[in-house]
Amino acid sequence: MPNYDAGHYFLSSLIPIQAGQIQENSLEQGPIDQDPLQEIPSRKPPLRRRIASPRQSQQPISHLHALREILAVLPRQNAALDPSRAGRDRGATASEAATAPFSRDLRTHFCRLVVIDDLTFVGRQHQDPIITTLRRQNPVIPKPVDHLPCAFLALILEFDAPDGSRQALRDYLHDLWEVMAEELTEIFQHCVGFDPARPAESFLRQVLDGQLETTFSFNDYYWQDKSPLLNQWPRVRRPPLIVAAIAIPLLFWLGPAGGLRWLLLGLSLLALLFWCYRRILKVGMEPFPAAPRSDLRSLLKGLYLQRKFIDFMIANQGVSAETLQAEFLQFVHDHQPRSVAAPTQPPGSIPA
Amino acid sequence: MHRKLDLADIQGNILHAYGRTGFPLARCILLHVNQGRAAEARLFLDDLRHRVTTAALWRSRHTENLPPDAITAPKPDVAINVAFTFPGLIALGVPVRTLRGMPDEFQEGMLRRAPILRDVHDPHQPITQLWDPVWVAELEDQRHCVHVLITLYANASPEQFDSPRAALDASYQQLANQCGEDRGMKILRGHRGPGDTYQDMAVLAEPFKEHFGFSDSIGDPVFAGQYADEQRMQKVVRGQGKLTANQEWVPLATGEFLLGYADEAQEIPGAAMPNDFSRNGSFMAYRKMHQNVQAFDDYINHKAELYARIHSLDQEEARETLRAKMVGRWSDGIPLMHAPTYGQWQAERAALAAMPPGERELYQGRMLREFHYGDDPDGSRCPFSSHLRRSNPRDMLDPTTLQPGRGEAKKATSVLNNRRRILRRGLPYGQSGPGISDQEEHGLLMLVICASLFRQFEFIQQQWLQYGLDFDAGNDTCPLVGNHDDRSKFVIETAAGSGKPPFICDQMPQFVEVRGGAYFFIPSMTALRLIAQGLVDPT
Repeated sequence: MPNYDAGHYFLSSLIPIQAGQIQENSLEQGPIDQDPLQEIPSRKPPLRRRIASPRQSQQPISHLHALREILAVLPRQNAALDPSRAGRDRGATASEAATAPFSRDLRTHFCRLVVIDDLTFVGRQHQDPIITTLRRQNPVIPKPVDHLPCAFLALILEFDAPDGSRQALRDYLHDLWEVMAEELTEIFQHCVGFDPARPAESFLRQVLDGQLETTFSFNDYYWQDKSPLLNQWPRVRRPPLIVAAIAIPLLFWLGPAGGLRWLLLGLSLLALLFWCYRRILKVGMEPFPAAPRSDLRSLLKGLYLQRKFIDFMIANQGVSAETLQAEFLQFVHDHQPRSVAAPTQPPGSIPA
Repeated sequence: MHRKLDLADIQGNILHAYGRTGFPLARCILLHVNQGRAAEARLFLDDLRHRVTTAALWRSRHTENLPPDAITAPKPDVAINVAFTFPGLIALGVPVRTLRGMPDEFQEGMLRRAPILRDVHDPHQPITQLWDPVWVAELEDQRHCVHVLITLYANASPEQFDSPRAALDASYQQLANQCGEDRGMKILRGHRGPGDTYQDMAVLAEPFKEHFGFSDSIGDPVFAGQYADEQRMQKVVRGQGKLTANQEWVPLATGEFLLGYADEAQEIPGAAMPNDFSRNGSFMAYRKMHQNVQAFDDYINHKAELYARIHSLDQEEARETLRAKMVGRWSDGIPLMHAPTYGQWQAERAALAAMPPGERELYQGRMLREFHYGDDPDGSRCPFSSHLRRSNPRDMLDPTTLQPGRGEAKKATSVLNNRRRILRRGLPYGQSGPGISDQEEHGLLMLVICASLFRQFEFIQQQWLQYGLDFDAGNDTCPLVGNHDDRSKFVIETAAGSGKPPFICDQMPQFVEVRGGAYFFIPSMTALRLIAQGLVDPT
C-alpha cells in the first residue's frame, strides 16, 4: 500500500481554500489567556497577529493572503537551540510561538504545507494539421484550458504509524490536534469545511476528505535492499510450478484426446498465468518491513549519539587502552545509548 | 572539430597565467566612473584598449613549430587587462537591454552575496571591518563604488626590461595621470597594505609557493582551443582536462571558460545581447584572501605532537604529513595520490633528483597532475576532506568510484566535475615568515575565471569548500580555506586493516580570511571597443 511503507505513513492531502475575502476582526479569536492575575479571562489575539503583523487591518483581506501570511511566519525550527539563527525567522521573536509546532509531536518526521494556486498553462496543445482538417475542425479556435476550481492547500506529512489503516491516520491527526490546535485552527479556518464550533472534528474531516493516495513516497530508512516481492519470490513461484508439473502430465495421460486436450491445456495455462499475476500484485502491495530504530525518537537519539561520540573520539585520541575503556564506560553511562527517552536531541532543531 | 579561437580578440589573462610565464610582479587598480562623466570615461577606455594585452601568441619556444608566416606578438613589458563590475557597465552607459542579460550573481555582486559564499567567517564582526575599505566604501557612498579593474603584470625576462618594478610604476603612473575627480574616472583608495590606491602582488622569493609553504598553481583546467599547438595540448590535457569513460583525458568544452561557445551541456548558454558583446568574454571573481601563516604553523606543530605519538612518527614526519593531508599535496606539490606516505614522498624526491633534466620535467609534469581518486575509495591516501579533493574532485563524485569491491572504479569519469572547473589566476601578496605577525598584510590574491560564476566558482566555494556533504564529511568545511568554528573538524581517514584509528583535527583556528573582492566581466576586444565607443546595440 503506497500510503504506508517501512513503518512510516505518507500522507498527501489537498484541501480547498476558501475563495473571497473576510473582515479580519471576524476571524476566529485566539485562545483564552490563562493569566491567574486577571479576574476575567480575556482572549489573546489570533496567532497570526501575534507573530506576524500585530496591527489589525481595516481592509477586508483574502483568505489566501491570510493563509500565506500565517504559513510564512510559522516557526520552522526551534530557534532557542541554535543561537546563531535566533532572530532570523521573524516568528522566533515572539517567545510564546517560538517552537516549531510540528516538533511538538514526536512522531512527525517531515511536514510540508504548500499553496497551489492553479495549473500551469504551458501553451496550446499541438494539433496535427491533417487530422484537424479531416475532422473539419478550425485550428484557429484554441482548445479549452484546464483550471483548478479554487486554490488548494497541500498538506504533506510523514509520520511513524503502526500500519497504513485509516484508524492509524485518525489517531495521528487526533494527537496532532492535541499539541497544535491553535496553529491548525489558524491555518485550516481559511480552508473549505472548517467549523469553528467543532474545530477538531472539522479539521479531521478536511484532511481525510482531501486525502490522495501517495504513489511516490520517499523513505530514507529502507534496510533490506530487496523488495518483499523478490524476498518472497520462491513462495510466489513454487505453487504454479507444482500445479503445472502435476496437471500437464495428467491431462496428457487421462484427459480427452485431440483438439479438446489442447484447449484444456491452453485454458489451464491461462488460469495459471492469471493466478501468478494476482499473486505478484498482492505481494507487491505489501509494505517493506520497518527498519529497526527508524522511528523519530530513535533517530533523534541516533543523531545525538553520533554527535557525542565524535566528541568522545576527539577527546580520547591517543590515550591508553585502559583509559579508553574507562572513558567509554563513562560515555555509555552518561549518554545511555540504549535509552531512547533521554538524554537525546530535542526535535525541531538542526544543531551545527 | 574545433574552430580555432580568435586569440587576438580574447584578453590575455583568460588564457594565460601571467605569473607563470615570466610576469612575477603585478598591480591591481580599481576605478570609479565619475558621475556625469561617462563620455570622458569612455574616451579613457578607448585610448586604453589599444594597449590591452590579448591572447595572441607571443614569440617563445612554443611558437617555434608554427609556420614562418604566422603572426606573433612581442611579449609586452607590462601586460594590461581590464574588467568591469555590473555598476561599472551601468555607469559607462551600456543599455539596460544588454545588462538584463547578465547573470544574477554578477548583477548582485560579491559583496551582496557574501552570506551565500560565507565570506564573513566571524559572525560578530561586520563585513565593513573585515574587508578592505575600498570594497565596502560603496555601502556608505555610491561615489566609491568599484566600477573598473585594471591589472598590470610586469615582464621580468632579461631581454625585455631591466627592472619590472620600474616598468610597473611607469605604467601605473601613466594611468594615474589620466584619472582624477575632474576626469572621466578616478582611482579608488582604501586597499590595506603598502599602497592605498592599488593592490600589489608578486611571486614569492621561492617561486610558485604560497605563504603556507606549498607549491601552488600546479593544475589548471585545459579547454578546447586553448593551445594552438596540438602536441602541446596532448601533453597538458592529461590530468587537467576531463576524464572520459575510456579513461582518456580530453579538453573541456570551450564554453566553460569563454562566453559564446558550447559548454559541457553541449549548448551555447544564454548571455547578454548582442552576441558580439558577450562572445570571447568571461567572468572573473577577485578574492583577496589573507593567510594566517603563524596560526597555521602553530596549529600544525601543536597537532603534530599527538599525530606523531599515535602513528609512531617523528615530529618532522608528522608535521609534513599533517600538512600534506590537509592540502592533498606535499609541500613541493607531489600529490598524496602518488606518494601517500612520508617515506614514499622522500623516495620520489630522490628518484626525481637522479633523473636527467629533460626526462624529469616530463615525468614531473605527469606525476603532479595525472591521477584520479578511483584508486582511493576510502580516502586513506588523500583524505576526502582535503583541499585538493574538495576543490577539484576529478572522478571521485562518479557513483561507481565510491563503491569498493564493485570492480567499476576504473571506469569512473569526471562528468560530475566537468561543469565546476575554474581557471585560477593571481599571485601571493605581502611577506610572511618567522617574526611576521598575522596582523600584517599577506595572503593570496585569487583571480578566478569561468563562464558562470554561479555554477562554477560559487558552487565550489559554497558546496565543496564551505560544506562537506559531497565528501561524506557532514558540515565540515575545507581544513585550509573553509570557515572554522569551535565544532569544526578535519578527519584523516586510515586504511581499513591498518590498525590505526582515523585522526581528527579539531579546534582549528581560521587559517584564511576573505578581505575583499568583486565579480567582474572581462570583455573581448570587440566588446571593449563597443563599450568604449558607446556603440553597444542590443537590438
